[in-house]
Amino acid sequence: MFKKADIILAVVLIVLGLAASYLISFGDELGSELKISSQGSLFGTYSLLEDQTIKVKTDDGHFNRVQIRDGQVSVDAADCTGQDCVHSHAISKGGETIVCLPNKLVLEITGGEKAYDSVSR
Amino acid sequence: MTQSRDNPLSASTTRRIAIAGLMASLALIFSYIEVLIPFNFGVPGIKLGIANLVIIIALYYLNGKYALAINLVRIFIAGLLFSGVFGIIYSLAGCLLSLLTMVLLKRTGVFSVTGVSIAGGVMHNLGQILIAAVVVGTIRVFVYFPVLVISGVITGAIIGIIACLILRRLPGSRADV
Repeated sequence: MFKKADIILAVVLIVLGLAASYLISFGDELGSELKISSQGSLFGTYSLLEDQTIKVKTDDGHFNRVQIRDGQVSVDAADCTGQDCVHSHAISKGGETIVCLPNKLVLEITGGEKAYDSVSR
Repeated sequence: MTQSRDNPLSASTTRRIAIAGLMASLALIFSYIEVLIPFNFGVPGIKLGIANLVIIIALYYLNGKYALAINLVRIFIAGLLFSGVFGIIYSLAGCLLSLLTMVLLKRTGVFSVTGVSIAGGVMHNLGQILIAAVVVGTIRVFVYFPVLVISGVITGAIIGIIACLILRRLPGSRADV
């Protein structure tokens, strides 16, 4: 009923399926973008795929340093009072935000939402 | 035809056509049973595909051409009766890809019925997801790919084992299936 080749085939296909699901879930997180708003207006949009450091300066001379590393976004330095933004957890998934109220800075992850709502039977 | 010369029925093409006709109606009944009682595993698009049981038995007991003919008759009639034109397109893509794979794998002689059925189950799902990608117009439907591959392996194995048990009991079929 079973030959060796059958079992090898089944195992290969299952491994392929699991690998594909890993790649898809991986691609979802990295496929997003970071949107930075400063003082109520859009400062810029950055891809999470590239590791980079962005320095966001306000008109009155304050700054926040935003770091993107391995698809994770965090504020690694700021001269604001409170330092809430620096202590915030790193964000990586669509819809997550980091806010710095004193410097009126909003970091928001966009994109990466799942585009499949329904699939025909 | 040369594939099953030891089959006593191969002497009579008329008998083979009659058997193919019976198998086509059986496949149609199985399609209907699946409409009545969907063997749903909680994920849309996953079906046990018991009609495929008939196709595999036709592939081994008759040959690939008969299996193709039975498949086409089943798809068009079942499509018109139960699911409509879109259903026919989905079924055609899945079944043709699946049958082509099964014919080729059977020809290698490496795999048993179960292995051939597993590959057929996976390719059936792949064919449908390809059509879904074209219809929805996005490659994102491939997020379903892992689920459908694994479910294809499981349903293919179930169908393959049943087909194996049936083929052993059919008169004149080879014992090594």
